[in-house]
Amino acid sequence: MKRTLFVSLVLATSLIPQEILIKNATVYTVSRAGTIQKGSVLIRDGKIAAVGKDLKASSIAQVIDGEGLFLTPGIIDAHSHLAVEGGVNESSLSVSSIARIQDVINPDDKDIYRNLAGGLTIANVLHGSANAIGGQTQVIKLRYGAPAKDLIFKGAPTGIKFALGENPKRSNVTLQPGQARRYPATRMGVMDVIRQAFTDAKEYQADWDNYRKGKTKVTPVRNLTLEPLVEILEGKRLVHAHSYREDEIVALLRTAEEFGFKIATLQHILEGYKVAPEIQKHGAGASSFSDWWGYKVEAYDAIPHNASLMHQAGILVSINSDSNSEARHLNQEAAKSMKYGNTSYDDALAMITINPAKQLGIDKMVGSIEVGKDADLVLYNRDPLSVYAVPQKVLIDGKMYFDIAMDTQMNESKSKEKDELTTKLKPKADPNRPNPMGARPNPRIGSDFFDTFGQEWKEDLFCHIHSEYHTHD
Amino acid sequence: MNKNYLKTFFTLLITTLLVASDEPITVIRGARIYPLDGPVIENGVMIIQGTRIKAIGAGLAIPEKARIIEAKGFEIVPGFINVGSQTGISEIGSVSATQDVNELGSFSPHIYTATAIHAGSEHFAVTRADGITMGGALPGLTWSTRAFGSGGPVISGHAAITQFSGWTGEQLVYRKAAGLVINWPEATTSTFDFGTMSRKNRPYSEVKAEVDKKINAIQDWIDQGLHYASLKANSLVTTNNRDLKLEGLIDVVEGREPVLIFASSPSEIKGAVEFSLKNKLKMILMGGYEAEKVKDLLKKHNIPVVLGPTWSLPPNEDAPYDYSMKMPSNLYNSGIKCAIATFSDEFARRIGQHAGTASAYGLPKEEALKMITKNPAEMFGLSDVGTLTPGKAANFVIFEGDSLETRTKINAVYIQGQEMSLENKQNKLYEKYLNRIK
Amino acid sequence: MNLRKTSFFSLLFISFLTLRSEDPQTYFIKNIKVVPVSGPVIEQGSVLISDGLILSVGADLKAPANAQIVNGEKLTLYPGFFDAYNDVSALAGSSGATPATAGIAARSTTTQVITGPSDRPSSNASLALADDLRLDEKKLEAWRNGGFTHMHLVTKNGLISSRSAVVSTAPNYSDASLIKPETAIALGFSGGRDFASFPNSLMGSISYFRQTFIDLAYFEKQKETYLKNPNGLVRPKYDKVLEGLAYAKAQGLPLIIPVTTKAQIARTLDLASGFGFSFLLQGVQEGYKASDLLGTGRIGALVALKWPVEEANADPEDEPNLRTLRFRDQAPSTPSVFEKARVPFGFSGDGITSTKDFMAGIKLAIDKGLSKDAAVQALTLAPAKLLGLQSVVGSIEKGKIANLVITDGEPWESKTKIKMVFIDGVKFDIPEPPTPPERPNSRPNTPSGKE
Repeated sequence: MKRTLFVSLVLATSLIPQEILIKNATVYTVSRAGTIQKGSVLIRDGKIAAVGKDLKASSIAQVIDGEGLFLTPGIIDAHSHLAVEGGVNESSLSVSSIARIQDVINPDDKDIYRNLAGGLTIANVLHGSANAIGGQTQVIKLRYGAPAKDLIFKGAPTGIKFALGENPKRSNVTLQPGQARRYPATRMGVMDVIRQAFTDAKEYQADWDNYRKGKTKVTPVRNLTLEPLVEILEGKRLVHAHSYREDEIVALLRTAEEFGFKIATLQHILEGYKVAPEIQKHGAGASSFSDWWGYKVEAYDAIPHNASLMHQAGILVSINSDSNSEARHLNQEAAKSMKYGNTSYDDALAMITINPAKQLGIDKMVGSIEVGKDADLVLYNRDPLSVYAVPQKVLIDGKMYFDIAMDTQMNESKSKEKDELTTKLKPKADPNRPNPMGARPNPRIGSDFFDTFGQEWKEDLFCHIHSEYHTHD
Repeated sequence: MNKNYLKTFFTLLITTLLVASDEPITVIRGARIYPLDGPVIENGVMIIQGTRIKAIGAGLAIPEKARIIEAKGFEIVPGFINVGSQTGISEIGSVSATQDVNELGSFSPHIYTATAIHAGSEHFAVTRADGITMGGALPGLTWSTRAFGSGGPVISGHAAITQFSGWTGEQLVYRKAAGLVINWPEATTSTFDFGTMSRKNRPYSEVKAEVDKKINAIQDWIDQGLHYASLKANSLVTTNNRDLKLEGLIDVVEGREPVLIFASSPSEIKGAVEFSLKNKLKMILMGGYEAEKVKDLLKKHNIPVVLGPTWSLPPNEDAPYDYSMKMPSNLYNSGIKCAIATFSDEFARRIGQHAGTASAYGLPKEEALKMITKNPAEMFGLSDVGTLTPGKAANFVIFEGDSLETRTKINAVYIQGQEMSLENKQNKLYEKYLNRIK
Repeated sequence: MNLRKTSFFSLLFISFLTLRSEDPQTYFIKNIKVVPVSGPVIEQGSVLISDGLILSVGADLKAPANAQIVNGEKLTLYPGFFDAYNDVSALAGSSGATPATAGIAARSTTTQVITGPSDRPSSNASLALADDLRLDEKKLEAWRNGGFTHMHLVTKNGLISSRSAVVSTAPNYSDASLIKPETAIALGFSGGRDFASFPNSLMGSISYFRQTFIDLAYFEKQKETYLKNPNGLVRPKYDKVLEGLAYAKAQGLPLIIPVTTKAQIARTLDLASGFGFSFLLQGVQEGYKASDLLGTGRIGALVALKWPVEEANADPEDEPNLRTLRFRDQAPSTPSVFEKARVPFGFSGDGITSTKDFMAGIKLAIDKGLSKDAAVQALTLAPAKLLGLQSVVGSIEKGKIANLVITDGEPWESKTKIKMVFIDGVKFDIPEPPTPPERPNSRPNTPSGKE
């Protein structure tokens, strides 16, 4: 069958050769080695084996000529909603830590491939921002074509989503008839939800401690909502907190300090520049949009210099997308920090590679081109922060997941297969054979809501557009 | 005649003409200039006086008493024109009190956004600082409400074109009735129901009947508009029978004002084009998400297209990943005149990025620049702007490097020969809080 | 005198006749091709049934004196067809809403606020569908006429269904028609009552199950300990859903979980393995991609025969994407792939309301490679095994319930007619389906009136 042939072709060309040598490219190592002109990278068994000039590889190595090309570490998006089936928000409760993104990873989401084509190799897939405490998050590698369990980035620390501000207090959502307003309705309510949840979590933690120490005989019931919160208290789970306004940012940091844990990253953090010293002192990382503003009241004071200013204040800063569309050009977004706020080229590149890697606790494995790390690489035809740069090849673990030449081939064969199948499936006129009114094929899984638009949308906007076009007054 | 003699002659001529007026002269020199109505000029000189561009060229003589701006290594391009936006009528998306985009009613040819341009909007200064000198104020876009069902205005109202310099809303309006926005009825069989957070499907025949009904209604309005126009021409309109809605249609039905038709799918675009031809309307296709499927039709009838963001996701699962990025070059290669617009305010400053991306994916840089300057100016009949042509308004931007790169800083923005302040809400906040960490 | 005797016996005979159609009698079906399913086909065989059960099956049987003879020449005898999973609405009357079905089907009007998993949203494991079934006679007749002698009815809405039931398609539905009043518990991922209630997302539903089955294990242990000696212990809080689940588990009832795509199959296998229940997958239309995941004989499937096709009234501009086209093309090959991989499976009529469509679905599967033997298996014995009914239905064997169907051809051929059906040994002659009216002749009448 033609499809088998195509699959074999893909497999054959993407088989992990023992060795791959990318040579004579401009290599942006995003490390102390800096940028190497006419540099080479040797990959062996999916890991970076050597970086330098004039490397030698074995005779069976696949050689990629990097002449005139530019090699960077794979881009890491610290705020993504990619590849999620059945909704990114469990928005019914204010504390939905029981929900897990890893349960609903959809490997068939075409946007995985589109993001790969933009140089993205790793995404921190988050629960939405409808709850003060949201669901558990999952870091994935964009291994398009692999089953869900193989998208999971093994070894990445676990995470969870918090959200502050307008979204969790539902200020931009119109209630459906009969629907009651969910607590909380104010920012202080949001903070209360968090404090109460951790108060409960401490109690739960104590119950189990007592049981383990033999002080109580009866096993406590396992509570899957509180367990992840205990993990936060024990420093085993990273907190990614969607936050905008300076007051809520600081309030959260103080709450975390009150309960003895740290916020790993503040997401969006559009007023982060106002409270940079506080953030820096607490030790939280910041993951910001590049130049979004004005869509909500809490985004009205957003400035495109946000990332630069926080970076200058000594905070670990990354630039994120919160959008399947934006995630395809994070390199261009990082470049904006050079324009707004005078961040250097290298620091801007770091904001989409090693910085998010550090924020996600995966910097030992990815984020820079250094020996021993995973061979997650992007080969561009122009310098990587240029608007003119088009990714030519994208590798994850040394395996080619995107190749611009192969993309054309793939489109052609897909188009052919589509024509063949369309003809084959045309219902034949047969009076004796009833045409069962078939089931609607599995509705487009993944972020189908967002696919509908031709524009760029972010999950963040979801809460806002709902009221704009559904006013009942 | 001797070349040198000619050069001297023209230089003298220009100098004379310039000196003849009192207004100060500004000279910018050393930059790469993109006039866009002629070849790129390396190491060029641009002379402006008053509101006008006086001369552009390489090696022009510099008049005395001129203020000279050194622009070595810089690029000068015409001021960007973002015809698809809501600058001035939309402040904060989620706050309806700040939104003057969607009026009630399906057919509103009496609505003019020109009467609601808010000069106090922060968006003007913010967007201008990124090189946008003119924008559109488009009413009633169902571009965004598409997935919500078949609601939303059909004839939304008249869009205005604003120039980003002025004390009042009135002064900001450059063209009061730049075009009548029509959202071409779309057959949406699948909509997203927020009540159940699921897709709701309707049978196509039912939806098609609704679409046809709406199209007939639009036709009816056009017919009535023509009739009213003839009444007016024959002085038969009095205070007793004056109809503001129909009055709003006169320029449109008589072909003086274009219809800005939002249509995405091939059948919608076809329907819109056929309708416009039938009724002799001057059509500009807005959005044209799947325009490449009906390229031949658009080319045949010279329908210009205002495309949305180049970074839009492809329209369906199987479309190539670079579908939207390649659309501008695709259409350009087919001889179709295109502009690029952002269709939103929050992203309005990205217009250069979209043009740059179009260039990355096959469109020559100059053509990409034209799509955000010369082309929209021509489409909307803005003959005084869009290119750097002597005699035209001095609307231009000086970039400290490649004008389409997202990392390039802007040195200056000029509107009508006046250098604009680049200060805005955002860089003021930056300066303020920079002090906190110093 | 003679007249009176004759009339007495006539009356007796007539009353006997009328009674006959309601009481299982003794039937000897002879000269028929017997497809026992549990053994090889008997080309010229006979079957003796009496008092609702099969007494004997063979090639050289003799008809006992009291048996009514059914002549099976040129006909085939199968075990009655079994729709292994269909929504209760396939047979229920319009007024058939019962607590077991209605409470979760409609957007609930109760004002109970769901504060979390412990409020057990949309969960009806404490109820049994069998308690309150009201079935529609016309629907029963339609399925019966299609050769289906029994069906597995499930309430699909909600997260945890009420306990499902296998009923026969005999007329005048009563509790006597219940073959297995408690068969399985179906899970659903479509969430709670309304958008605002927990869970309103797929991951919420999944986490709800995870928590509930953890709670179940805890609850069972807690109860056990408490019942042994309650003194000094906190009494277990009454949770009717957990009680229902515990009961179902003790009875060996499986869970039935709906899945479609390979990703969903993989995810469900992972998730459900921690529930402490045996389980079956239902729908499984991308099973053709996932047979390796299901393993040999490890997990059973109830494959939905409503194959994905183009919708009737779709936007002609809406081109289906390649993934959908592939799905439509290959889904019907799932049964054949399962056959080769030895994945046990039955057929589910979920979404199908006409037996003609059910059979057309099987025909397509056969066109895509399913063997006829396996098709018959999946129509009869295989689902019986998966649902714990293997001792009583699914094959023509001594001692099993006499649920049988006689056809004049292979069941999935559109021209095949169902001739006769036996349910609990009661015979039903199936009338010929009405032929469509003659198409009016398009030629105008000639003055002579002749065509």
